[in-house]
Amino acid sequence: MKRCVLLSLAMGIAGLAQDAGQKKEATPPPKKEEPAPAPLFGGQLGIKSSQKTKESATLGFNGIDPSGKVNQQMLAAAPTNTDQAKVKNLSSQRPTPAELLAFLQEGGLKQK
Amino acid sequence: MNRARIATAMIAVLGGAIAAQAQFGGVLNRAKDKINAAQDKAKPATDRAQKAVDTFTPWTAQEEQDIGAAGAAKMVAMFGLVDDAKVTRYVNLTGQVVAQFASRDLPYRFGVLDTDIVGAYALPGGYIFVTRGMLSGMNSEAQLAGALGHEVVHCAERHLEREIRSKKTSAWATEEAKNSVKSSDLASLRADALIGDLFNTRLSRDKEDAADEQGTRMAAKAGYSAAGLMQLLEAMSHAGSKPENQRAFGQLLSTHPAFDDRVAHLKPIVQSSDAGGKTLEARFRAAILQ
Repeated sequence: MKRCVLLSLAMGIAGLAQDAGQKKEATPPPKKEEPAPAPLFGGQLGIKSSQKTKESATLGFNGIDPSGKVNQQMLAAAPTNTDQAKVKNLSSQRPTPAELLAFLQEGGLKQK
Repeated sequence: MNRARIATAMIAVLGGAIAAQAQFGGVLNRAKDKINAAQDKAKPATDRAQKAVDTFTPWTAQEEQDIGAAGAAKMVAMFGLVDDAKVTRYVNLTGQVVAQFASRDLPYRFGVLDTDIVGAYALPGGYIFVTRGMLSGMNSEAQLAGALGHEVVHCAERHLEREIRSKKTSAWATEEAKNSVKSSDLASLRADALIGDLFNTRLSRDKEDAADEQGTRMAAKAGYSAAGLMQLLEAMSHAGSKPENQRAFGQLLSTHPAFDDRVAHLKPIVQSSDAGGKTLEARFRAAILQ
């Protein structure tokens, strides 16, 4: 008798849990609204940092003292071969005349 | 008759005096020149170097490129670049749109520095950087175009190079004049000094005004709203006045005129420009939003 009661209790709980799970699945996730033009310097528009080190609130201010000045240690940084290669690569990012023309036309802008 | 004789005699005396003075003056001038030349020879090498610094002789196109590339590599070493091809491409395209109207043809290149400080930088040879912090505060392509236009003007007009020489702030110019540095080390030496100056030297007000004004006109010529840069400066004025943003805006404020003064300078230029230029907020969001 006791076993029967325990079994039916367990089945009931399992059923309730399954029901709750189904309800959760049935509820659509809230739609993300199209972001409106963000307030300037409000932090809504953003480009993620490419720095691989651990994220922290001050990561993006490395080498900058609290007054905003670039510190001497930062100014003494010596470029590596990789840095020089990245600078060379900037030249390859320049758009071709055809790409520029397409960009101008898409934005309704003027060509010289 | 007597009067005529006296007058003739006076003219003769006067003429003689002038001729004597001219002859004697000539001798004096030649002597002065010789003394000056001797003094010049006797001057120490550093004085001659200083003279060279005082005279603005623009770098050759190759020197400009070498110094710009070395300076750009140093900037990348300091901050890193945002490694996002879509963002970099978009910034390059917008920059090229404005650079079409630059006063000097250069291979303009644009990169995004990976730092939260708010700023944009122009190096010799057409190397232009905008920071991630600055981009994050914009909300339209017209604003980006205005900011990049400002930097293009600095490059095209050699503003940093001129400022350094006129203020004698940089070590490289003296070293160059002394001719005591190997040419292979010169670009790196100049780059170190140049970047130091970039972060510590305040460009003269007329150069900043010219960059704001011409940058705005170039953006408008390309079809952007002429108000882009002015709106960005207004927003920066608001955000930059908050104490919690000191770290983000401190460097920019230490090397540029107050934002409000720049806005006041641009207002009549914007008001006299054609209305109806493009702002392109949606395209900006699509490219920059992540």
